[in-house]
Amino acid sequence: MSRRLALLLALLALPLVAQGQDAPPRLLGEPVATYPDEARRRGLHGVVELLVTVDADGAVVAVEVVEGHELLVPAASAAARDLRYEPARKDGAPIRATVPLTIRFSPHDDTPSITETVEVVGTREEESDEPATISTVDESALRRARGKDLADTLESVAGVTVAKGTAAVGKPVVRGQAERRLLLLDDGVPLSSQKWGADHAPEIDPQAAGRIRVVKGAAGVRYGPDAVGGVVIVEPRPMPLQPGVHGAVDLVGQTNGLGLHGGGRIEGMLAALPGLSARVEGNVGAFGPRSTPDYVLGNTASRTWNLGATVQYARPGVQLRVAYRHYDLHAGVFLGVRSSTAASFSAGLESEVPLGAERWTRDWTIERPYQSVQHDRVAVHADFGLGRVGTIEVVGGFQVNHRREFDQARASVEGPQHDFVLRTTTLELGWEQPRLPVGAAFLTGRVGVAGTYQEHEYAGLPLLPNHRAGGLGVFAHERLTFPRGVVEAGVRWDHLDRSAFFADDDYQRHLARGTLDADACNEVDGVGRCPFRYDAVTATVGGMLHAVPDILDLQLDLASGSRAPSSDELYLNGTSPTFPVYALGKPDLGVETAWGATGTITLEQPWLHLEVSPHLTYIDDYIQFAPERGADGELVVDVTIRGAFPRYSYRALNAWFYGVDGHAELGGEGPVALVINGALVRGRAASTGEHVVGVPPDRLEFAARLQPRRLGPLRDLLLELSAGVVGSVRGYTDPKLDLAPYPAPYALVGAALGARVPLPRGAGVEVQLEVENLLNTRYRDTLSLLRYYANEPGRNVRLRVGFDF
Amino acid sequence: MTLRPMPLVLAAALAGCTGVTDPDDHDHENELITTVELTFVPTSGDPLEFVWSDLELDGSALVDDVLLAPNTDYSLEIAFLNEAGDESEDITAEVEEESDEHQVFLLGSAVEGPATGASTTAVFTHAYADEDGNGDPVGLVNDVQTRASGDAQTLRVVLQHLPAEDGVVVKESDLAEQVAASGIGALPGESDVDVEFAVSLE
Repeated sequence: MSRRLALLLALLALPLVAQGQDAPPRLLGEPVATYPDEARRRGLHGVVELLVTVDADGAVVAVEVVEGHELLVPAASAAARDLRYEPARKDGAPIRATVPLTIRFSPHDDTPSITETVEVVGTREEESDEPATISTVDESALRRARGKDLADTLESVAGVTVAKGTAAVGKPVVRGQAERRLLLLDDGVPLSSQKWGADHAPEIDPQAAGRIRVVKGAAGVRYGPDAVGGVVIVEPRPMPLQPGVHGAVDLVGQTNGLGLHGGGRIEGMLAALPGLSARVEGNVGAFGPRSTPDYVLGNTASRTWNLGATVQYARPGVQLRVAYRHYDLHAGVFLGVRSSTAASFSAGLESEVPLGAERWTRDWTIERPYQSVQHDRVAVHADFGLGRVGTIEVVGGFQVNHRREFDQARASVEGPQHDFVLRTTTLELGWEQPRLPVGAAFLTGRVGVAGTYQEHEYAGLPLLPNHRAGGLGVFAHERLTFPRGVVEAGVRWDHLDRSAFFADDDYQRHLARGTLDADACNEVDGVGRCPFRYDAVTATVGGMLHAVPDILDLQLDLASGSRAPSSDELYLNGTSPTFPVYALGKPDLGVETAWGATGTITLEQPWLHLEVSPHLTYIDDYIQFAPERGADGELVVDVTIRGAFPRYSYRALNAWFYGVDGHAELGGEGPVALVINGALVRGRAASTGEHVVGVPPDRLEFAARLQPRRLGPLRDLLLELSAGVVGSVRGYTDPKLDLAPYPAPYALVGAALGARVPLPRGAGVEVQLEVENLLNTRYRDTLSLLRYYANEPGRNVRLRVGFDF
Repeated sequence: MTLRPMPLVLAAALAGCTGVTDPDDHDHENELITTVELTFVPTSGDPLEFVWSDLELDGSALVDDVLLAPNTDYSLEIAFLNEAGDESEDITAEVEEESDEHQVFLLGSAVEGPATGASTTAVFTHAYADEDGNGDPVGLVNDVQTRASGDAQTLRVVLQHLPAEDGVVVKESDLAEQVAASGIGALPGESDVDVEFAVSLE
């Protein structure tokens, strides 16, 4: 029997039971339903029609969905299960009965309204699907990851891995691409920072995010330069639209890297000032050094704090938002790294336990070497609805990245050895055209211009030049959405003008080494200046086909992305602060351009969600950082006063990257579920077929979940046991492309337990216990800087308590 | 944790007032060492000075060949300088001040000493002639005695910085012997200087 028919029969049956001593079930008490954040963000409103079976005790024993948007159904079902009824009666005796129930969601109402009669209200079309492969980390996953850094927060996404530094922060890697090839958009503003160092994590606080989306693959047209390997889009929580005050407090404690992380946010709108809302949020964390199963990782303690304030004014047709954020990290660099002169580096590779490990303690003091990073950012958003003319959107970003690295130094040396200041201003102006009907389809699109101005100032031991850069981009893309799918095309032109400035001694040093082209540069008043110009055109064509509506979607996305080589890739010249090599830039590197194809197959069944996404990308002039070797295969070394260092240099090669990632969820919203994530990626030089370094090994992750909706007073229970298996690149990557052997495969086991206790008026308390590396496995990871020196951290227990209102 | 006056940072960002076109010349105090000076003072006669220097930090050092008289007792004084930029800064005094966190090691085939162990082919023997506050050797002043004859050999001078780790003092009295047994890579801390000279006897 179809669900619609069942609904009809239930409706027809109602008058019958309502006669005489017969009565239908009657709703009791205050219904509680939570408006899903994702739905609110999208401005989604509409109704969910359900069939609720109420037993003779008045408890809801079954809920069947008749109709409703996929984003609203889970919340509606959960609310329905929590309802209490006066049971139906037949001849005065309570009986089991099924009644229709409609739950209506509106973005202007925090608590969805529940009615017992069927009402038909059209739902607004959801944002059209983008052809690009996008994975979302939603609010509940973000809540579970409280206290973690951005990279670890994203690790649950298939195809995303983490390149860890020695500090407790890492970099996200999307399908093998990281750092400069990954565009990080924080509240619409591209993050500008020193992305090159192995210990330089992105300066984004994931605690402030309401949702994070990961675009896998090139997406230069839509998001701009640097979107060569993908885009990480960090979106803030939507601002409140109704008067009232809401907030949340979170406290996380952990055992490995013993410490606490606490944060909170408060936001609201005064009834007297409709449209004007404000939010203040912040967090602070202090962690001791982490430990492997056998020894402490000396000096890996860290402190972090973040602060944010947002003000929004929203009225029909106008929305203005100004947000300020401060990021602050103070993190010790693992002592085992700094023992690494070239000689002790080689000695360390031979030894299972790092030299000096017996001395390291769980002392919370952060001593040299350490890094201290501050990032300040203002984002300004202005949207003007012009009715039939479309919408004008303005996004401005002003950010200052200040990174200081303090090496071990004589006591008389007080300051940092490396001090980088990067100031970036970005402005994007876009016009979103009104929806244009084309037969049964409709056309949407956006055109715009984007400008950027950047200044880099460096002081300290010789390493990088200063630079000043100005950029301009012009873009347009159109999308045709028809009932069975989407077709999209776009094009973008980008221009960059950058000048690097060298002090005289640096300039001469570069000329002497032949690492600058004297003809391309000039020297005036003791300052060498090297200009760099870059022009690139990127394009995208993509489409999605709802092959079997609501069941099978097929997507194909062809897109390109490009980026100019960064200042460090061109001009780096010196010993690296955290890696005992002599790093050398290459001044004649060209523009790196990626041409990618991604297909995605999505299968949707009540008990199964399956997504498989094969991808293929050709990168023209892919810039690789690897050791230089002479004709005899021996490492080329550079002799400095601190000894002989193996030379690492940048070089360009044309490369193919290909692979597949997949995500499957069995069990759907039921009480038992199995989640599987897998990713495989390879990178190979086009000319020789040789495998490229820095590509993550294959990985497969399983999570078995028990997720009963309720147990006594508890809601959203979760009991999870997870296992991840990570392969090795040993089998196919030339060992000569690295200084140390590639790590062996490993497997990690984890567990999590969590629940929510709802409180009156939509408030709630959440408790979550999580164990990482449950079996205290000893392992090294291919993408981790630690792998040259020590094992990764062992077992860690995290306890999170959150309260929201 | 550093609390920074955020409005100032922002003001600087917006104003864009900068020294971008006036790059840092790296010659301020930042632990840079460009030059190692070896001064061999014989019991009689003129001192001999040999220099290893890379003022441009371009990986092309100027290195003097060390030429010593046979069968001679020398006092070897080692100095470290920062000569990048216009001024010369003597780092030796700082090393001396923090001698409980520094030690010089003399290695290489030219040497028979505490950091190398016994050698029949070495051209000179080495002994520490100074000590820090704890009575441990430093190596800024050394006793060197050349042999009667010998082929050209290498002398490696390593200045190891040995700051306390997690509050634990890492400089010990027998570090040179540890180097002899396990190599320089087994030392804690990091090398501020690690240079090589060619040594021969007249």
